[in-house]
Amino acid sequence: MHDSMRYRTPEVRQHLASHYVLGTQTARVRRRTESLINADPQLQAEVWFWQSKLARVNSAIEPQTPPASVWHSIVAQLDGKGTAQPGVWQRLWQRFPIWQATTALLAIVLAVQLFVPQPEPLKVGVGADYVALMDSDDADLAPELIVAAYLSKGTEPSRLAFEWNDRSPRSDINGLTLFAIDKDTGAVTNLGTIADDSPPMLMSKVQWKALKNSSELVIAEGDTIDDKPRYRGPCIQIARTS
Amino acid sequence: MTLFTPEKERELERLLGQIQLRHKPAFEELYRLTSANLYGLILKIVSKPDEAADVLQETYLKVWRNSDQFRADLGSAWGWLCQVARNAALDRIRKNSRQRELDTSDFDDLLNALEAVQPDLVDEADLSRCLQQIRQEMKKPLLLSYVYGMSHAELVQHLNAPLGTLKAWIRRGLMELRACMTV
Repeated sequence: MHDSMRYRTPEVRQHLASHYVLGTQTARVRRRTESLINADPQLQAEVWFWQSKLARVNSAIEPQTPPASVWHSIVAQLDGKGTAQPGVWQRLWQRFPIWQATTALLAIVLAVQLFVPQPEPLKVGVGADYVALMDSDDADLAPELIVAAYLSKGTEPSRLAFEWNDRSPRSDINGLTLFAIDKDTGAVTNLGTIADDSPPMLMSKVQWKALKNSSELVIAEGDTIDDKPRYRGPCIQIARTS
Repeated sequence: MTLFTPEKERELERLLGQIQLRHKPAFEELYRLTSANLYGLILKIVSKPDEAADVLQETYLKVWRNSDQFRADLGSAWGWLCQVARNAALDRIRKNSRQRELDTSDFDDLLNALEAVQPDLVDEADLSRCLQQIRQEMKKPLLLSYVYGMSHAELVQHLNAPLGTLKAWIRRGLMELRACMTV
């Protein structure tokens, strides 16, 4: 069954739509629901039903006059002028063209560096057997953390490595617990405690099996998967392993 | 509390139709008609006025850019505008991991206003009648979530109830509300 097909029952549609409009879904689930809404006209209709009915609640909230600057900023954005009032840094930038020249120079230096072979290529993810793109519940679209799993080869043991997306803010995952959710049974296996600044985390055969059979990995603050889950992401096989 | 009259609703639909054709005066008129209501709504979720103003700005930019997503054949214009604003506000609070300071002191007044029947409002009778029919323990978490954007964790703290019980109340409350509103 296609992934999105299992959502296409009246009960699930009603549940998803009502919770989407109510606002109790996490940002991650909300994004997922939005992609389903775009693909399913019946779910879309259900969402419109709820948002039209519940909007009455908002009419009972006392109106508040917004600051005049809001409209000015909107107009400036629509006219392609950015914000109506440039910030301090923007004003300084406009005042000192020498900064522009300095930045251009730095850009050239960076560009040159890009063409110079890197002595230590990024190892995480390269040659991995499984990866999970871990996403937190905030609203950013890009996954923040990559978990890569490598099967034992020769003298190298099976191991897990963690790498942050440089475009997302990092957070301390030291001491958090990694869990695997079985793709067939939904059973949860504790894969152990993460040490962010340590060498790759070594894995036993039992842990590897749990990871191999998992549909999703979860990093949580507590001892159970429901205890403050911080990151989660689908576990994908990217190499043929036994 | 005048936005929900059938006349206002038709006016919003007309303006959104013009905005879909990139008509800026219609957009300005929509802002004039709805910004105070949406700002009030956002302030319930994002309590800091400067952050709420940012969210309001973001909301209208989304309305301008995504006006083609408005479907007059599916539901109300006011409902769609509220959804855009609430989503932007929820994104903002979920991004901030720090604990929010929520002022829910006006909750009872809001509930009384909602349950009072005002026949000139579209669908109002539906919602008022149905809110009166569902039990208090179900009604409260539903409205706290909707009005203040409370997460399950915040509801647990605010209502001092176990998470499982709370989820069951919400699920049951939504089912009863839906059954009542689709009669």
